[in-house]
Amino acid sequence: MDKKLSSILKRVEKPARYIGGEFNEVEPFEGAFNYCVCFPDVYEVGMSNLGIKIVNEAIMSVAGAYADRCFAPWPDFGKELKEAGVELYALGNKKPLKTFDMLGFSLQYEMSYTNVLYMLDLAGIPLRREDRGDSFPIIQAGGPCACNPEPLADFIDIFIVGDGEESMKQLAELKIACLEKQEFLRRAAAEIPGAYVPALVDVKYGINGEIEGFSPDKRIEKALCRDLASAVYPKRFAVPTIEAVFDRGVLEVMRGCYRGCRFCQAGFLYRPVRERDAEDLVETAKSIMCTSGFDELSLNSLSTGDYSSLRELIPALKDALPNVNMALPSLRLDSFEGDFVQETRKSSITFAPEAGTQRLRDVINKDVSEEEIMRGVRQAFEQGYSTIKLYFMLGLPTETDEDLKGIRDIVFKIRDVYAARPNRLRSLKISVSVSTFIPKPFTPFQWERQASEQEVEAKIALLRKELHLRGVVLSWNDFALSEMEAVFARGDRRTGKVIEAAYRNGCIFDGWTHLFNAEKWYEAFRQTGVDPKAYTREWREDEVLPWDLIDVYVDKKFLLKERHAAYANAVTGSCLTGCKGCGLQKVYCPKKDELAAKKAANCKKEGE
Amino acid sequence: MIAFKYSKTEGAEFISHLDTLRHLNKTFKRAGFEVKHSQGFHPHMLVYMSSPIGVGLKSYAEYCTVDVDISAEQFKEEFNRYSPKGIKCIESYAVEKNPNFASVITRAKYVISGLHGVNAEEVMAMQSFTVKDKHGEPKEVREKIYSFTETAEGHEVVLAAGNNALRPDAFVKRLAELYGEMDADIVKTESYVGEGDSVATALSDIG
Repeated sequence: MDKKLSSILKRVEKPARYIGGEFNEVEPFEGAFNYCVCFPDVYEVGMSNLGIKIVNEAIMSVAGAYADRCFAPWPDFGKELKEAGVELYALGNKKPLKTFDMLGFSLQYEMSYTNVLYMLDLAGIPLRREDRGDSFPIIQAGGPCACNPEPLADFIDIFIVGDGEESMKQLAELKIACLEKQEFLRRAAAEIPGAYVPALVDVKYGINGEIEGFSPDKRIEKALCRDLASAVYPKRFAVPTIEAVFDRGVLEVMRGCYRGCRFCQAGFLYRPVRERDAEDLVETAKSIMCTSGFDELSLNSLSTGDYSSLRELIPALKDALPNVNMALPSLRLDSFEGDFVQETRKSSITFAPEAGTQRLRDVINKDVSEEEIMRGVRQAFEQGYSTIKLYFMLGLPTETDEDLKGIRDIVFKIRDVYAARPNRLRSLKISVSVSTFIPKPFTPFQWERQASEQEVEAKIALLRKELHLRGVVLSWNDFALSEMEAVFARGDRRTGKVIEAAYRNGCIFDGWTHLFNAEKWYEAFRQTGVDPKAYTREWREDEVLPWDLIDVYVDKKFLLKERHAAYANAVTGSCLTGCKGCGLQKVYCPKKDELAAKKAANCKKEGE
Repeated sequence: MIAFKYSKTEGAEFISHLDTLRHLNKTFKRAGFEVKHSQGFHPHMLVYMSSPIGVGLKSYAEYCTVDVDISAEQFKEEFNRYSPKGIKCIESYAVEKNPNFASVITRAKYVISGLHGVNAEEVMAMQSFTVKDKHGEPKEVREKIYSFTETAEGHEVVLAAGNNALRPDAFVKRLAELYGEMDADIVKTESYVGEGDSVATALSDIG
């Protein structure tokens, strides 16, 4: 190890974040194509992410290609690297990021955007793509936030929108075949599904500042992996050197969600739902758990209770892996009589009604009744839980004070359920956490405005009054943070310079509440003359949206229909009750025929 | 039961004590060792480590006991196949009872390179040698320095270890105050049990 580096490591917090050598990581080698996945958050967070493992698996499946990894240095280490003139390096081969052919940023949340610039800067790579000659690595990005790539369009050479399994492989193959940067970018944009090269697309603005269109006027269709069964999936998980946020194996049981909650971006982005085969999952789980030594296996998806073979999968997993604890992080209240799953007792159990009244839950298409919530709570009490966490959103479209008071009603009903129990060893604790609604691209609420600071303050004041109760703790997030998230979720190309200015002002790790500095962000808006309100306002339905150049196969007409249904308090419900015609049925949906038949049967019933 | 000596090098010196325990546990699981577990509400593997070593200090002399029925040879071979980089078994012995390394280890030897201009004889001749405690107060530790010599590789020092330890990085820090800033590299090469003149390397009785 470099002498300068080893002396820095002796001074920083948790130096094991920066040493690599994880068990199960591949031995580094010099490839014909050298790729480094860059995760713009700290090691413990990044090592828990499944997406980057899949991406590296895809790259490594290409003959001659090598995939390494790098995470954002915590501010103490970043500062030391900069002062000592040590360039940011990959954890596997310890070579500077600059020496790679391509760096791939994983965009999981908007507030990690300054960290993308931070990592480029620490690597000694110019931030803006126009300042990088052909000698620097190609800067690529992907992940859920790439669905609206525009805020980072000035910094990223090429985005991959959609599933990475096949497109990342094709990207590696193309780069091996075609070494010249400009030619590679041109060919990738033309040949690889989901590839978006900002340099090849111009945005036209009207005199009022609104977007008039894109040139060329051709939508980029997301990459869609139709056959997950034959796609790559990591069979050996690298064991983090220090404890990661999730110290466990991860099994993605399915991709996508049938539910269609109107605020939820993932619910629309990852369509159609693709379920994995239960037998394959058991084999994968055996490999992951035996090669890692983890104690816990997490069954991931957006709504694991909807996985059609769950009742076969869980006993099969318990049989194959008797000493492994099973975690089901996203089990819906109404989806499963879950008691035989949750054998490992946690200190608290979380429910996410999202809204306080049935009316508002209908508006957001969160198809869960109060009765179902109470049934879940009762089950939790029966299992011995006495701490309940509740998640709600604040500032949803059509929300009134009555909806907020509904949160109190739910809390009171939970207290009543607990009070009626015979032996209460501990006093009941309820923690209510509310977060400000953020309108996200590709959802029926993509046109909605975000509640203003004054409105949010008034709503929180009301909740504080209503929930000033013994055993109840209310928490809420910083308004400025939600506002920034809204701006960059729906931002256009012009917001890129705000991110750069904020980074120059010293903003990094903005997703970490104690490191987020609202003042420096507002200063960045002033410096660049960009008005955040222009992005948190309501958008007209006929306006060109910054992300209109991306096609995730969900029809805009369908989203509009859903928006109007929301205002009519009309529930659309899950795909499983019959095809809703979102648009994927025209492209690819594994359950297309089954769900279309259900829909026809429902229509017939209504007709009778 | 297996008592074994292992290294923390090649980057693993930056892994904390608690994380090292996690890696030992995971290594045992990957190797398929049937380690006995504690009884009680939260059963855990019966693994007993020697006293923590400071983060960033390389070592070829960490010790551990694990309650498992397996031959010493097989243990070493399997452990090294499944352990992470830098955490490697050097010696292993089958034992009847836990030697309790955390309490019996009293001294440790360190090889320190980069102590430019430090006169070991002069240090040993000192009547007093103080290091700062966590409140910044000077603390007398001269009696915790058992030997300090100059060798071909640099310097070699034997310091108190275990419950009443003198941390080698604290020792070096004081030397830097006396002889000027230096960038020293510390490697623990041996741990000892016993008092006075009857010290022995930690595994020698067992071996």
